[in-house]
Amino acid sequence: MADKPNPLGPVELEVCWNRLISIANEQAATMVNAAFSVVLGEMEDLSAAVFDHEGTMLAQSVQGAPGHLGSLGIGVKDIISKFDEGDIHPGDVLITNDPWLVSGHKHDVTVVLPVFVGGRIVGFTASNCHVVDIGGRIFSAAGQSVYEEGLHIPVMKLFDAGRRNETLFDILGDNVRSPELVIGDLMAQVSANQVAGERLLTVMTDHDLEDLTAVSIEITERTEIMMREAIQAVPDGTYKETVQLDGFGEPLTISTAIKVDGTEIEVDFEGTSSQIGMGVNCVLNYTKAFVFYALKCALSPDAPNNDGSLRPIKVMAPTSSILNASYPAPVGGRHLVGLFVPFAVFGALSQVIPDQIMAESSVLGAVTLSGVDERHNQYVFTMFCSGGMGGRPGKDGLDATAFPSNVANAPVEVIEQAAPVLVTQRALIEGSDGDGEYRGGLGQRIGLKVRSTAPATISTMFERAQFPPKGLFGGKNGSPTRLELDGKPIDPKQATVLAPDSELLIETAGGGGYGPPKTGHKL
Amino acid sequence: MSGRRNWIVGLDIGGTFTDVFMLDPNSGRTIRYKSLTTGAHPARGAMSALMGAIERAGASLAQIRVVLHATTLVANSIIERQGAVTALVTTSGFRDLLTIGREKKYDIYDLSIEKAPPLVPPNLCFEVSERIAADGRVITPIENLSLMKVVDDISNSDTETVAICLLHSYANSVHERRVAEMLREHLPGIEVSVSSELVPEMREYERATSTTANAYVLPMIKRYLAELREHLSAGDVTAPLLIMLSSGGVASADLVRRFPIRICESGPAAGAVTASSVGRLIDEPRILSFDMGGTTAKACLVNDFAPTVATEFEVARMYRFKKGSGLPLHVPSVDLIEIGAGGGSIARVDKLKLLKIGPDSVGSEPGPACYGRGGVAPTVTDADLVLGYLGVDSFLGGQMSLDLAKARQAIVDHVAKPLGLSTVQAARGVYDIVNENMANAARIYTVERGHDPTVYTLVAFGGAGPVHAYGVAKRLGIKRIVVPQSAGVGSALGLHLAPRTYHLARTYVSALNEVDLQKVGQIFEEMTKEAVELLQSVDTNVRDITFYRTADMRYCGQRKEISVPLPEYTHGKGIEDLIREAFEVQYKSVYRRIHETNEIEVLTWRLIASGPPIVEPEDLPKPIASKGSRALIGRRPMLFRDWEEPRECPVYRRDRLAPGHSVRGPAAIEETESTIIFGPEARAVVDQYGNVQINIETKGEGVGG
Repeated sequence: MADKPNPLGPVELEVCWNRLISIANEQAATMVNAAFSVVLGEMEDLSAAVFDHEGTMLAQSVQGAPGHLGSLGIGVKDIISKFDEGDIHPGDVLITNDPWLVSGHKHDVTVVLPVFVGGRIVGFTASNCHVVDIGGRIFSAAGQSVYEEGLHIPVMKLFDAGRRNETLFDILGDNVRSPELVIGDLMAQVSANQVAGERLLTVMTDHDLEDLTAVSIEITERTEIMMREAIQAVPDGTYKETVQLDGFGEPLTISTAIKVDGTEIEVDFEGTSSQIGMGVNCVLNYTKAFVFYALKCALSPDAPNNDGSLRPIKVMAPTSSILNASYPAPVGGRHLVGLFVPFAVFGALSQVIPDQIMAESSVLGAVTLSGVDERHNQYVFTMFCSGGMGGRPGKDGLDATAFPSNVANAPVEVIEQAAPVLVTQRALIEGSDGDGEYRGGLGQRIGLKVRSTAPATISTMFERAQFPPKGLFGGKNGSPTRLELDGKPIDPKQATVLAPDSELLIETAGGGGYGPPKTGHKL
Repeated sequence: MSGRRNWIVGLDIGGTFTDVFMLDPNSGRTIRYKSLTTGAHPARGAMSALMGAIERAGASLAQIRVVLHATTLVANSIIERQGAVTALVTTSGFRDLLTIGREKKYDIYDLSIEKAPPLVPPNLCFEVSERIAADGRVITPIENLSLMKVVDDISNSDTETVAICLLHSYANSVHERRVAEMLREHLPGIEVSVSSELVPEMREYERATSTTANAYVLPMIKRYLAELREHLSAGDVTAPLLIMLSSGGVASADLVRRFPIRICESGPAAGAVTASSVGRLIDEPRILSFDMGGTTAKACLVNDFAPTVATEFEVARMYRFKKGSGLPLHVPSVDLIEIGAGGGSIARVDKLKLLKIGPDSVGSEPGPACYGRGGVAPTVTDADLVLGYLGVDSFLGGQMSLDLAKARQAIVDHVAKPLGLSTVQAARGVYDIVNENMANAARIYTVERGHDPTVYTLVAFGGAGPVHAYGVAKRLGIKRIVVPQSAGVGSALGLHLAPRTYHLARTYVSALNEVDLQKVGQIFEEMTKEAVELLQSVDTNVRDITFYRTADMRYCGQRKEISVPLPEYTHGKGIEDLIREAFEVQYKSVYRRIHETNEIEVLTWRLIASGPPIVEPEDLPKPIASKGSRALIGRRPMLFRDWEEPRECPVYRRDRLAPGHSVRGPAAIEETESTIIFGPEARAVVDQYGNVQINIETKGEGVGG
């Protein structure tokens, strides 16, 4: 309980709470608007959130990717704990891309800004963004260890009492392929955190708050109660599910047992495959992020998201498994495994709350191109590709929409302006949806060519080729992922070369159907 | 004197009501008129409202000097999906671009979200074999055979209107123009909208959506304007017809005929102008405009006496009114929020035994149950009547009497019985929940923009605005409400107060250090000439025009631009430095820090040319309260706060309340087109401009009326 009585009445608390959420939203919008890369500026692979002085998350942006949002909510506490008391000063900006601290691969850079009142830290604003390059290999799952996956930035200061850490900027600039984009995006994060920090101070002044302690307790406790009530509505018991995915050669397995006990949930991934020597291993924080996300979707989608909603949930995964990787396991393409966690959670819960979950979806794929353009400038470009979402209780799945990820596509006109590529087509694939009472969403076909005399190195990262999205309750599976190079099928997870006249064709998977197909139903 | 063209007419057609506000600046006379909107024949409806108002003035149509017009036709046609059969012509390989959209989910936790269905069905999306590169170079010339096939396919369908959106047409419009030419030549009966003319901007989905929306409403608006002109001419009205744009300026009907999507939010924009003018009159820089009509309610923030104009907005949000669930339109619009809550919003009890209001509405046909025109669904207006907030005989100044028994019956059958409540408590539930819906949407909209609603003054208008302002203000923690004169026809009033404004833009992309200043000078010269001509055509004196120049700028390689106010342009040396300085000042204010070593580029050069409004707010006639006649005209039972049963409360007539007059709540102040309601914690005072200012004295514990 708070030492002081709650200074806010119920109406004022609601206003204040809403304002914290809008601060996080403004923070995300500022990042997007100030961005240099297409990944941040168009596809919005980011998260933004506001924290109290202990690193407890109070509000997060509506915009954002679940893997980022969830892990940022956990990670800030650990980042600030690396500093001794009194070591963080006004004007400091903290940075790290340590995969084990936040969202599981080096391409995600986290920036944290302390907010001070009268020399005292009252809160933090933090953001996380997928940078277009971090050195090492290009964005791929091909690394054999984390050392190959680019520059590691331990927790340190990007700005020290307002002074730029020129050493770090130089190291970063010399290690990445498109320094102007990477540093531009990094500065967009700093700007966004700064704007959010100022807004936080305004809220505190307006509501006459000396610190955020009481607000933090109110917000998180109320949210925790909401989450516990939602959990209580689920019948007690242990529910199990096993999900298989392509992996590399050998399929990988995610096993889960969800124990619902009163107002608490324990999710145990015992039986999940051991970590492998390819870059798809997830750190535990990232696994947790997707468990939290899936449970919130199923149980309490309308509740606000903050530290309180995470408290009744416990997540365990075997050490050195693909869901709890040990250093220095390769993790570059960890989403290729992590994105399946919600399907395991939904599959288990389908036994008790069939109306609150959905059939399996295609998972987000990515293709990264790197090379030199006609003017001999080095370029690197990542494009995400969504397939169909699973059929839902009462509704068909959405076409060409990522789940569980949430990124926008890059407009064709933006892609072609940002990199020397030509998008030859982007069309829905008829018949790719899993049939069912409620059908899955359609996958899409995307064609790419290089518009340069020099070939491009490309890295493709796609799942769902061997194990297409499963239908649920008698619904049919969606169609699998397929990749072709000049008409010949290729391995969906590999690094290869795209010659100037060649065409890469990507077909993303269709979503699984929900419920048995209507008889005689044919569209 | 007949024959003198002295009347300025503001005509606002909403979803339920058509409002007229007329002013004779010479005599200071004003006329207000409100009638039900006629859905089937909008031009005839407009005309009959106009005639009604003219009749009330004892004038003739020939005495009209200018008609200022706002209409909700465009927005409604999109929301209700009632537009023309529309086809899309796009680049080969991309016919699904409207369905694929931007792929983003606007709510990541809600598994049931829906995306706005495109305005063009998949079978009417056609592909032309052609390709232009990002830099405007032609990669594949347009293939005639494929073009002819598209023309054939369109002619074999029931298409009435076509949107053309080819990749990279903002950089080179030659192929789009060729397609347009072919369509016009071979299919003369079909309307054509060209994306590079409407929104020459990068991002094909947003450009295509805007262009299809324009195409979708074009036949209807063209027909409407032609009919209206015909009716006007038949009535000897030769006066110019000016139409409110979503951006808050007014433009000629000719411009609107080509780009009807630009008037999508014309009524709400006119309302925002009214609120801004009230802010100026009472010198209050923080106004939250609250306009509640029959179908929807609108909220708009007005800071420093002007609403913000955004370059894009969303129309027809279809999933729980959530941001992202509508269609994005890249046309300038006043930044406001529209909520499906109006007098006609339907109340129902859902499966979970929860009372839900709207967003669907009974419109003017059949209307609320109390209109006695065959409606049986309980609406917000029915609840207002049961609560005593509306008088049975005073609605629309007595033009229309309301049927209390029918209102009670509707509330009893559909709300009170299913919930096990008394009739008045059920009506109070309707009032509270619709207020909560509006307050919640307004609160989110306000705080999303970084503002605290509690320090704002609520300016309430529209037929239902003054009835609900008190409940909404209390929920928002707002302490002052201002109800302007003629509040019941507030948007029609705003038409008079709107500056005649044009926004012009030219794209000329260049790094700042390589910019050809002569070319820039030429661009501004051209735009100035165009603006002056346009403004002169709407009766503006050249000397009264003010010009405002901006440029969209960014660091080279950055994704999005910021709008930078340009220095007064001169052909001088050092102008680049001035522009750079202006950019850095602006960039720093938005993003707190600049990139010192990065190059800067300019993309779009903009000119805003503005003539004075037709009427300055200070020049609106001051109220003359008829002294001697009693303002208190009676009492009727009303329900406020936690009262179990209604109690007798006083009813005043607004036109008998002189400036300085003060009324303690609870009370109703009736005017012809609306009723101001305020409860026990409030006191109303009439200010020198005739505004009714309501101060809410305590922070309400119990919310509700």
